[in-house]
Amino acid sequence: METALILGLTSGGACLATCGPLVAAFLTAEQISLKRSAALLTVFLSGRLLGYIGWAVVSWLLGQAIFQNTAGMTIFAAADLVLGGWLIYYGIYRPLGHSHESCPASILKPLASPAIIHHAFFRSGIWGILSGLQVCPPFLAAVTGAARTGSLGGSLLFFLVFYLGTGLWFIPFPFIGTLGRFRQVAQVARFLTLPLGAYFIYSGFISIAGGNSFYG
Amino acid sequence: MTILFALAFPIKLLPIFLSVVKTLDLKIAPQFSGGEVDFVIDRGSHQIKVYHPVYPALFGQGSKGFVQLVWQPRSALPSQVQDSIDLNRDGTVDCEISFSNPPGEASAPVLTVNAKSLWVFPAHNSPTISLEGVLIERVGDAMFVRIPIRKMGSS
Amino acid sequence: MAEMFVTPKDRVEPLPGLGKNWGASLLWTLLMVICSLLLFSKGLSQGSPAQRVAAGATIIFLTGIFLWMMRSGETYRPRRVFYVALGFLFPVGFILELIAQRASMSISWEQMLLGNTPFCYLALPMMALPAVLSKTIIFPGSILPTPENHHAFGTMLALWFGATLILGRGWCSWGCFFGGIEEGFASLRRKPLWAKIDRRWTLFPWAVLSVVVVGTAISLAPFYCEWLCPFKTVTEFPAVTSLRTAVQFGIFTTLFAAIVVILPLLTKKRTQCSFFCPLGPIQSLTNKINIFELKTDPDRCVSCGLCEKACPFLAIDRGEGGLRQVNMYCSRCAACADVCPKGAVRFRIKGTPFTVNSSAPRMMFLLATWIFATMFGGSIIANSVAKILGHLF
Repeated sequence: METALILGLTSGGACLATCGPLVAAFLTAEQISLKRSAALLTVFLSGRLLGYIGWAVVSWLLGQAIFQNTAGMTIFAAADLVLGGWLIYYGIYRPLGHSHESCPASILKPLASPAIIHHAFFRSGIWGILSGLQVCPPFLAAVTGAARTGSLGGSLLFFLVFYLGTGLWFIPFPFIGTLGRFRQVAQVARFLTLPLGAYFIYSGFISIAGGNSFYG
Repeated sequence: MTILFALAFPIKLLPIFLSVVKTLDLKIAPQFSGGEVDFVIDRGSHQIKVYHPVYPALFGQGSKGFVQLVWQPRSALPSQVQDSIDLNRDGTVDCEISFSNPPGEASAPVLTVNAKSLWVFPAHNSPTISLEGVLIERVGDAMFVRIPIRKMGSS
Repeated sequence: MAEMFVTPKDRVEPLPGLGKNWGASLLWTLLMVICSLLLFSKGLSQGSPAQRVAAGATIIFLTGIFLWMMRSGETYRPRRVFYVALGFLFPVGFILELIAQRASMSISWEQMLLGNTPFCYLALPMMALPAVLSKTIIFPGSILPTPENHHAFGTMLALWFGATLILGRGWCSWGCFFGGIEEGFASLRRKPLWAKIDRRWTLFPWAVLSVVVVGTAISLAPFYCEWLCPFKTVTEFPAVTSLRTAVQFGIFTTLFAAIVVILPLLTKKRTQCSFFCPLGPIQSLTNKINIFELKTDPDRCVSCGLCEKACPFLAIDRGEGGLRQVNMYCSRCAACADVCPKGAVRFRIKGTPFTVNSSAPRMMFLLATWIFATMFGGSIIANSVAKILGHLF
């Protein structure tokens, strides 16, 4: 579960960097008070949790399918290598989210527009679910991590810890000030995917070459 | 003021700072220091210092750890040493430790641990890999040994 | 492109004060000689012949550097000579000591078991969280100095704390010997081969800091030392006896080659210090409490950008109208102040206005800094020279 927490802490910032401006659009609007902003954020994070639970179930099913295969561990190790490389690429080359188009869930954005959903709290919840269903390298890394646990309970726990790690980044969000300061924090958060990617490459390499990874 | 501070630092301020550090009562993490000595077994030709079990964790104690033992000879350790150790002094032998002590600094000692209690891991090691794992290291005339264990009393 | 460094006589407005005449220069230098003699008195009087020669040579070397600073009015180039000497002599002396003791650069398990591993200040950021949570220092050394281990945690913490109060991030240009290695490589070429550097990489050390702090708390071992420190290449490292130690060896040697040797050579920037070192962000924060700073006088700045090109830490930001401003990552190396043709970038004591006699803050900074440099860097240079002489003769 340490892996889940580290994954959440390191990738949560990157998720914030990508989807943050979108969240900011409905959390930090001029007329919204801090109390209302915090309430909307709570609904958003609850929706996000629902999305994560969905992924936990998918991960468990994936793990069941792969563990039937005798080459399952090699598949996971190879996935680690690919994910590690993708995480590093993501950290260096993916531009910081300065528009909502960069959010991986943007394809579903029309579903959550004010024209369709009038109530702000309901809209925040939908956004939360959408952000919890995104497909990006840190999330895929969490999927493989959860799938490895081999049980539904393990997968749920893995995603819960991952969720807590990512969620910590959203807590100070209503208080984040100027866009400049946000971009610096977001950039550092994005950079965290580099050591995370390096860890996955190392883990995959050690699994294939033989021996224990650093944490196992 | 900064110039005066720079001048005074090596002479007066460094010892004051060190005494402040002393009051903080910090300790080197036991996974490196080996912990504190629990009791000493006297075998005549040598003594065995048995340390408190160490279970490294950021908060509280972990579920796995090690016990450090130090063979301190009165003159010199024999080339082959075998000892039965009751680690928690409950009257039952917890492990049988044997190690070779080849002459010459270039020759590495080889350790074998036969676990008699379920919370002691059987081990065989040569050479030392890490401080937290199985370890045998010659230090002067003494032999430092660390054997991995689970929480004492657990199965 | 204009010359990187111009001498004061080429400036439109020469720096007043500092570098004015021989009398003032010699007087200040004499003060530093007296400090040096006091600090090296033990080595001069009680040491072996090699130690006495080394102490004497070091005093002459430091005196020459300081006199050069006083007479020329420059700081960056004299400082660089001292700093590069420190950077290369430290590992030479360290390695000679290891070879003499163990005939190997491998870490000694005996040394770790006895708590005699010298504490490195780069490990300081990692120690904070476990020290607060469990009152333990996660390092195989000792808390207070012992006859076998002078470089205890307490000693290095004290040195770092004192240096930080005096220098702020100036520690990175006047104290940290590892920085001297890459500054040496950065100064080999006249012009950079790779001038365009993405400034967002100056934020990467914050990510490294986060990783080493969390990694140490979780692994209960000094994470940076085990996995990331490039300077193990020139100090000591675990023997390669497993796949894990082989990977660790590969990581630190690659990092050393890439960010300590090759990138500084190509960019003429301190790439390890600016883009990787986890102590850098902490040192940058300490700039906030240090009374000295380098600041741009907006009335004099002509937005030529020479300071920005000269800064080895990418610590100069471009503001409105092209006005350059020194940011929190400044290491007080004075490259910008020396290169500025208008004397716009100057040392200043925080809270005071820019004055006509603008050399006074630089003078005060140099006096405090050089006393520290003599004590810390000078003693390392003297020790290393003594070891080299001991081996040669």
